[in-house]
Order: sequence, then C-alpha cells, then structure tokens
Amino acid sequence: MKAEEILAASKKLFFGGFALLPMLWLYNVLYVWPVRNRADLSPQVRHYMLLSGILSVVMFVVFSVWFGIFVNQRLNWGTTGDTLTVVLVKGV
Amino acid sequence: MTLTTFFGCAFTAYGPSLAIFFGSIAPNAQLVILMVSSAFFWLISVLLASAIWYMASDSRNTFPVTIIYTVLLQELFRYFLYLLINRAESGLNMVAMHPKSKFNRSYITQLVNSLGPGVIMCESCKTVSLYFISAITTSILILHHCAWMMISFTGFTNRSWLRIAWVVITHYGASYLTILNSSPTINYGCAYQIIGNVALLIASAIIVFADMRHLHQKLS
Amino acid sequence: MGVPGDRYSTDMEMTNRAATSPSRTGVAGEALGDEGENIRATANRPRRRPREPRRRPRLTPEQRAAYEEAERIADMKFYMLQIYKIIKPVVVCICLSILWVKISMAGSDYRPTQSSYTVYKESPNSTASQNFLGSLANAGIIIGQIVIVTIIIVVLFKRGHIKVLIGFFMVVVAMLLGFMGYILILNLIQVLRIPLDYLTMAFALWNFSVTGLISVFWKGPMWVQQMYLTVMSSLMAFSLTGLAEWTTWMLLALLVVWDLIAVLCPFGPLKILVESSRSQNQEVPALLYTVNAVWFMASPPDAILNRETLNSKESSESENLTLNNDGSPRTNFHGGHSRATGRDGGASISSSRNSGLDASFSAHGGMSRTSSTMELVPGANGETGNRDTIELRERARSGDSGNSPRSRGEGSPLAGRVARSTSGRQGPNRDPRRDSRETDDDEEHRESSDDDDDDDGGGLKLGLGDFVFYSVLVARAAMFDWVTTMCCMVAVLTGMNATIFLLAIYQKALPALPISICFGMLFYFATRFALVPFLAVLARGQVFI
Repeated sequence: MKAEEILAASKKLFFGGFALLPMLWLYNVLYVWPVRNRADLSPQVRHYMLLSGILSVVMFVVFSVWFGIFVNQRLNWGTTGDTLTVVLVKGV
Repeated sequence: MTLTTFFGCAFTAYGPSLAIFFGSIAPNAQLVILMVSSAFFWLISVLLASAIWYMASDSRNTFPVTIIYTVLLQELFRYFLYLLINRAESGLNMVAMHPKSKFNRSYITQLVNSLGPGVIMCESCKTVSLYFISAITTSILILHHCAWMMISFTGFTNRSWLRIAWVVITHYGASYLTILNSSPTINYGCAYQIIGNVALLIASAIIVFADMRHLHQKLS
Repeated sequence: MGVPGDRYSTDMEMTNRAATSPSRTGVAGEALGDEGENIRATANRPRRRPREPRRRPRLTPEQRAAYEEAERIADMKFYMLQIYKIIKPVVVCICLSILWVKISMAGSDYRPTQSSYTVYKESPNSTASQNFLGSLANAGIIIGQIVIVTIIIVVLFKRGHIKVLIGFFMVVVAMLLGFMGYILILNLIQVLRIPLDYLTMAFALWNFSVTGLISVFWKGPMWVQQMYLTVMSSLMAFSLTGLAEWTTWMLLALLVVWDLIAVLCPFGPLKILVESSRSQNQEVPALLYTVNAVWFMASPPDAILNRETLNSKESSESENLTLNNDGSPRTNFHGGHSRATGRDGGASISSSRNSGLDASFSAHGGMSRTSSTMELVPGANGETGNRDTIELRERARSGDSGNSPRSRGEGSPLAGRVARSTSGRQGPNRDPRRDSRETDDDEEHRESSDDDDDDDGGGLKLGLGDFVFYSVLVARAAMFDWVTTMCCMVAVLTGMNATIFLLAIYQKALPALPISICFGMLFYFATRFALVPFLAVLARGQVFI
C-alpha cells in the first residue's frame, strides 16, 4: 500500500471517528499499527494513529463512566431511570 | 454453587482432552481433519449402538448386554476408520515425509490423539447424579480412547493381535468397571471403578510409550 | 447509506486498491525475506515456465508416475490445509450461534419470532400431516424468496448494475448488523440481567455497525473483516432460529435441493452468475469479492469457471493440467496480484484489473454471489441466501499457497506468521507436483485456449450462506439438547470435509450444503430419538461405554 493511501485512509477514519464513532478510531489504530514503522510513511499518519488511539480511549472511559453512573444511580432516578433502561431488569 | 460445580465438573471432565486438543491437535491441519473424521466414526458407532438399544426394548436396562454390542461396534468402527485412513495413508505418509522433520511420519500415532475431543459429546449429558464421579470417569475414558486409538492403530498396522486384543479387552474392562458405579451391593463401587480404570489407563499408556519410542528409534 | 455515499466509497475503494497493490507487494516481499521456503516457492514461479521444456524429454514413465503420485499427495495436503483454514471460521460461527441460542433460550422474551410471511403456525396439537404441509408451505415461501432474490441478483449482475448491487448489499449488511444486533442485545441483557440504557446501546450499536460496514466494504485489517463476517453469519443464523421447528427442517431440506439445482444445473442461477461474471469480468463488483475473498483468505482469482466449462468432462488430472497451463503464463503476475489481495479482498480486484487478468474474477464472482446472497437474506426478507459453493481450485499451488497465507499475514502480523509457516511447510511438496503438471501440460494443447482465462487462485471458497445454514442447523439442534448439538456439529463438519474432498476430485464448483445438511439432519433425528434416551439411561446407571 502506498504511503499516501494509508495517510488518506487514516485521515478519513480519524475524522469519521468524530461522528461518535470511537470504534473507527480503534479501527484506525489497528489498521495503521502493522505498518507504523515503514520508512516512507509520513509522520502525519503516526499522528493520526496516536490521536485516534487516545481519543478512542477517552471515549471509552467517558462511556464507561456514564454507564457506571447509570447502573448505580438508575434506581434513584425514578421514572427517568426506567425510561432510559432498555429492558427492565427483573428482580432488582 | 451449582455454577461452580458445573465448571469444576466440566473442566475435570474435558480439561485433559481440551489440553490435548489445543496443545497438539489444533495447530496441525491433518490432525484436525483426522479428529473430525474420527469423531464422526465414533459417532456413527454410538448411533448404531443406540439404534440397537432402541430396538431391543427388552434389554434396555441391562447394562452388561448393552455394553457388549456398544463396545464391539466402537472397535469395529475404529477398524473401519483405520481402513479409511489406510487408503489415504500412502498419500498422507508421503506428505508427512516431505517436510524436514523426520518425526512427521509418526503423526499417525499422534493423530490418534485426535480422538480425544471426539469423545466429548459422548458423556456430555450432565444428567448424572454423582456429577463429580462421572466427570472423573469421563476424563479417564477420553484418555483411554486416545490410548486405545494409538494402540489399536499400531496393532492394525503391525498386525499385532496382542495389541488389538488388549484394546478390546480393556475397553470391555473399563466399561464393565463403570457398572460398579451404580452397583447397590458393593460399597465404594465408584472408587474401585476409578482405581481400576486408572490402572488400565496406566497400562495402556505404557504400551503407547513403548510403541512410540520404538517408532522413533526406527525413524532415527 | 444513501446512494451518493455508496458511490463515493466504492469509487474510493477501487482507486485505493489499485494504487495499493504494488507497494503491498513490496511489503510482502520483505516479509518473506526471512522465510527460506517461501522464497523458494515464490522464486519458483517465474522460473517455472522456462524450466518446463527442459524437463519434458527427460521423463520416463516411472518418473512420470512418481510425479503424479507426488502431485496427488501435494493436492491432498493442499486440500487439507484448505479445510483447516476453513474449519476455524465455520466452527467459530457455529459456536457463536449456539451461544446465542442457548442464551436466548434461557428465558428471554425477545427471541426472534416467526415472521409474518409464514402462513402456517405450528401448534403442538396439530397432526403430523398438517405440520408437514404447513411447514412445507412456509419453507416453500422462504425458498421462493431466496430464488427470486438470487435471480434478481443474477439479472442485475448480468446487466452490469454493479452499483445497485453494492448499495443493496450495504443496506443489507447494515440492517443485519444493526437490527439483528439490536435483537441480540435485547436477548443478552435480559437473560444476563444487565441494566443497559438506551444511550449506551445506541452508541454501541452505531459503532458496531458502522465499523462493520467499513471493514466489509472498504478496507482495513483482514481479521477484523473476518470477524465481522463470522459474526454476521451467526447473527443471520440466529434470526433464522425463530422459525418453527418443522419449518426449519423443511427449509433446510429444500435448500439442499435448491443448492443442487442452482449450482449444478446448466441453467442454475448461480452457475449463470459465475459464467456471466467471467464473461464480463470487469464488471464484477468489488464488494462481492471482498466479501468472499476476504473470507477465504484471499484466494486469488481463479479460473474455476473456465475449468468448469472447458474441461468439465475431463478427468481431474487433465484439469489440473489445464490449470497449470493457465497458471504458467501468468505466473509472473501472481505475486503481484495475489499479494495485493491480501489485505482487503478488494485489492485483488483492482490489481487483477491492472494486470489485465480479468478472468480471475470469474471465480470470485462465483463466490461473491454466494456470500452476497447470503447477506441479502437478512435484509430483504430475512431469509435467504444461498450459499453455496465451495469452489476450490488449486492451480499452481505455489501461487496460492504463497499468496493466501501471505495475504492473510498482511492483515495481521500474527496470523501472517502462522500462515507463512504453513506455506513454508508446504513448499517442498509443491515442486514435484508442479513439475509433473508442467510436463503433462506440454502434451496438452489446451494451453493456448486457456491462457486467457487465467487463474490462479487457489483457495477454497465457501459462501457465507453455507456458514449461515450450517449454523442454523446446529443452532436448531442446540435447542434440543447438548448431545444433538455436538452430533450435528460433527456431522456438519464431516460433510464439509467430504465436500471439499469431492472438490479435490471434481475440480469444479460444488454446492456445499447438501452433504453437510443431509448428515446433519440424519444425525439430528437419529440422535434425538435413539441416542439421547440411550445416553440418559446409561447416565442414570453411571455406565460409560
């Protein structure tokens, strides 16, 4: 694959990730990772890869935190919590 | 509690065979294929046995009778499998010879390991009352099957009737031993059964190792 | 996905891929560097042609016999490797389906239900004949949909509306991932009692399906794509487990028939599809390829079709020769294009296009339709697909064995290593066989005719449809008992192996379903009515056999 190709692809994946798609960022990292040490690769690619990785981790953490809050607080939120829940858990 | 019991039993029963599977079979294409086919043959034999059992409605609950034809069928199909593999053998052996490792040729003994996981489904019904006993027995029997496979294949190849007889006899022995499990008159029947089976297994293992060493010597 | 989006991405795809291939080759070459055997294998290719003439005269009949023997063995080994490679995804797919079924059976309210297009509802108190006729009607409707969709695809393909097809597949894949993923999540969270909020779920699904679309239709690491394809197949199978029991069995039985007709009959739609893809090779959509090629690790294009048409009557040996012939002229290209195939199936397309090896498409086309059809299924009617064909070709083995692993390897270094080592192992075998082929070739004059067809691919291809229906069968068995599950799994895998060995013998596209499904059904009923009670009795007495 040509270096420009990689660059273009990772750029697209990187910007695509902003549509609430951290998995694309992760995907980007997976995509670029095997070729990261190629000499002809422009430094930008590594940049994108790094940023993607960081951002995807950040997103993941954000959602984990939100999920943790939800799980622990949903009973206190009353009907709001119930509305948010996809399937009401029986017995809890 | 039940969950822990389940996993404990499951790993006791299938741990060894899974270890064999992932350790030595999964990485080898030939062995995987052989495993599938041996499992298939084993299944056919058991299915036939169950068909006979189904028709023989009188003796459904007399285990000794059941064991007679079941074991016989299994050994018969083992032989059929051997015939099948033997037909392909020329090809297989040659294949194995090409790569550098000279031990490849002995894969036919290894291959036999392949039966191990194949046996899994046999005892996989977990409806027994003494779960743990059955788990142990299952695992012993799976190993038994591996050993029998190797011994009988060596036997078939070398026309060594002794080995074949050993396989058949120990197979019967192992099966009849398990009757002890449910015996109402003998105390600690299951303990005797396990001890007896382990003894048989060790004897088989000794034979297998002797054969393998012999094979390796011949090759080198 | 809107139309513009599709166009954009597909165009992208092509251009990227075209550009991509050369450099990839370079990378692959480097990677190979450390592998002695592989090098040999690759090196052989260019040399092969020139060497041929020299050899011929020297051969005595005994030598030839020996060569043939070696060739047979090499074939065998080759097919074994193919089986090995294929068995893993199939097993994973089946296991996933079993998992879904077992989970959803543990008291979920959200199991997939019979869709509205089933006219007959089975009930426990209806008679056997009612059940039979009713389920026949249901299954007939589903099969009818499959047939119609397949024909539509064939027509679209023949007319060259590739963009339409691609768009269609994208919608289908998106729906499958999104909608069935949603249903599956509902099942999982209910059974496992996970409190999940809509926000997180929407977020996760959105990510899951968009990434899936991108990996399947665009580019990215191979193994991600393979993962997605496996998951998709298992999702599809899961959605089909909603059918009533009789209907499922009837459907599988009818599918066997349909599969046979579609692949083997002269006017079978799948066969036509394959042929037309050959005749208008350039039009083969990348997607289709991707879907397939990816799956099977990339076998480079092959000329199955050619083979089929040209020498269908011939003995396998002569066919091999043919292949060889095809292969030899092209040998030089192999490297480039097969390697290109590596990362995304799509690559193969562009690269082959570049090199002018159009014929190569044909094989893929065949595959693709299969898989593509599969995918359709979920979306459109939910049912569907076809699958069908395992095409195996072996042609110049060096080409493929070298290629396929390599391609895989590029996707993920780890896998690559494994694959490479396998190919390495295979290396030595290859030579004798190739030589023998070459010698034989000379005798045949088929060469010239075939040359244009090319082919080089050698890999085994199995439609995603096959995956789905294997999984459906096993999943259905899983709804009864573990014993039936394992029996059916073994039966299906054995059937698959048998099919592949038949492929080795007949060297043409074969329907993959019949043997497996027949075995599976046979085993299911035998197990259910005899083995399960048998084992229950044995288990009660703690007797082991």
